[in-house]
Amino acid sequence: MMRCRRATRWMVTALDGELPARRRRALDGHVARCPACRHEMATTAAVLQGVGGLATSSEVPGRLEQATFRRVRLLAAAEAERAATRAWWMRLRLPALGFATAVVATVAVGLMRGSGERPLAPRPGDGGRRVVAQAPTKDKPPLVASRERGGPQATATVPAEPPPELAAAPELFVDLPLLRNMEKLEHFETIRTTTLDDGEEQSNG
Amino acid sequence: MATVHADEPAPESAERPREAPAESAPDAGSGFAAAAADPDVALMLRCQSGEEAAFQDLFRKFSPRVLQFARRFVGSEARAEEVTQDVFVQVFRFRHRYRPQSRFSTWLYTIATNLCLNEVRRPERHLRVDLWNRRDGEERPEGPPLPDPAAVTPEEGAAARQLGQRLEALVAELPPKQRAALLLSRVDGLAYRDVAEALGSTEGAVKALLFRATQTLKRGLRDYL
Amino acid sequence: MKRLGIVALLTAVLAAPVVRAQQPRPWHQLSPDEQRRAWENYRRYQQLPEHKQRSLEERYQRFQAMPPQDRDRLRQNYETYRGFDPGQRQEFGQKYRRWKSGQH
Repeated sequence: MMRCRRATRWMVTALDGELPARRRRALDGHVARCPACRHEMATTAAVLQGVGGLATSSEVPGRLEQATFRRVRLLAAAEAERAATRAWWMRLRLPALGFATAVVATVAVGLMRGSGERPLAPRPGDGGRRVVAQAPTKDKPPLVASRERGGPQATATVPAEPPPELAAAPELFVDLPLLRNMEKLEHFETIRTTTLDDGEEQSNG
Repeated sequence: MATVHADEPAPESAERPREAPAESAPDAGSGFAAAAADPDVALMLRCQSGEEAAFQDLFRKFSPRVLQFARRFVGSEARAEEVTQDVFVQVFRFRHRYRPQSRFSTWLYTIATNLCLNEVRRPERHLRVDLWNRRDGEERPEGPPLPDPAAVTPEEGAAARQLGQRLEALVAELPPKQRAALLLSRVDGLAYRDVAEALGSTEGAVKALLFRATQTLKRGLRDYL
Repeated sequence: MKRLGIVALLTAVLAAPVVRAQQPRPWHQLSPDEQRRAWENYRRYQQLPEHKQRSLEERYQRFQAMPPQDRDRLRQNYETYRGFDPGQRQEFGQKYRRWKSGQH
């Protein structure tokens, strides 16, 4: 004989049509005999019906659609670029590439052995002066020279293979500061000829 | 939602219409057969082939539902739109991972649920503006109120709307996984198996989530029942 | 240092035809300075909130849709703006805020 506690736990599943037939029969039999569970079942049904009546969809603004399609187009463009690059590699005469790499490696090893110095170690007596130009290492693509500059404005190395987002729209990032100030630049002359109060102008003295 | 009398049998309309499980499609092991049975699968297969129009069709069909789903997890309209956009960008980015053996909507809601649950876990989330406690004069976030087809009098219609708002607020207060299970099952009509897949869980866990969610809602709606 | 320079030069000389052959992407049509700037700006862009990223993408689309003379005008204005000394920049900022308040 089913207990009320189990019957209560089965009600939601039964009302969702997911209770196996045998259990559903047992539940229906119990509910028919138990007024409290009959009330509980009706209450549960009402709540679930109310939830089912909640809005299922929202109107999608046009800007959301356009922005999504634009992002997806950028993604697709980036994927196509990467695929084209891989195709280039496949068509390339690898022996020629291997020869060029071998020549460079041989010369590099020969030069380094000749001088007896390590590429990135500071020379003794130099006062810790850094050697900033890096020779190609096995962790980096051998055909790309580092663009790192020395001194206080040293910047991170630009990757040989830019991320897809960057590769898809490089001009966006070249012109990023311009885009951030776009409104000012569009109305540049108008803004320049805008007059300030005497107090504001004098404070710039 | 009408007042329920204790001795009445559970109304049959409480049984929810829901999507048939994916496995009921004939010969669901074949992508072509699945596509024939489910037009969304066909669209997704075309999307995998690089067809932009297929992706746009999927977006237009499902974005209203995803947006409404997202709105019940995030703190602002703008963020709900951003999450919706992220969902479909992920659909495109990972389109080759989709297998036609499972329903497209299940796969879509898996992505949506993951992103919404991630959203709930964001620290900034705690500063959310409650979408469902509308200030005077603000437009209803869920759009213009729908007339209650069962309402006989204007008073009943108003009461039903008030109840709906109360219900929305209670749903918004549910723990995220309970909320997701309830919405996927009752609002979006996914079968338990598909809800489990979307949540990365089991059917048994889904049943437990739904039971706890319903108990909470019943307590919160005591004055209306 | 000199030997490393020779290595770098050899690398560039021997690899150049291969690099040119293998790199048809627009990224590599940028000058090294442009690539550096793009990379640094990309890293800053990644730190921005998503809604600001989208705003910039929309501005980029609008910028690309402009006639070439309008794009040149904006670039020229930007170069002028960059040439401002701190006092001029401050004044321009005040005028911008004054102008902006007059727009509403």
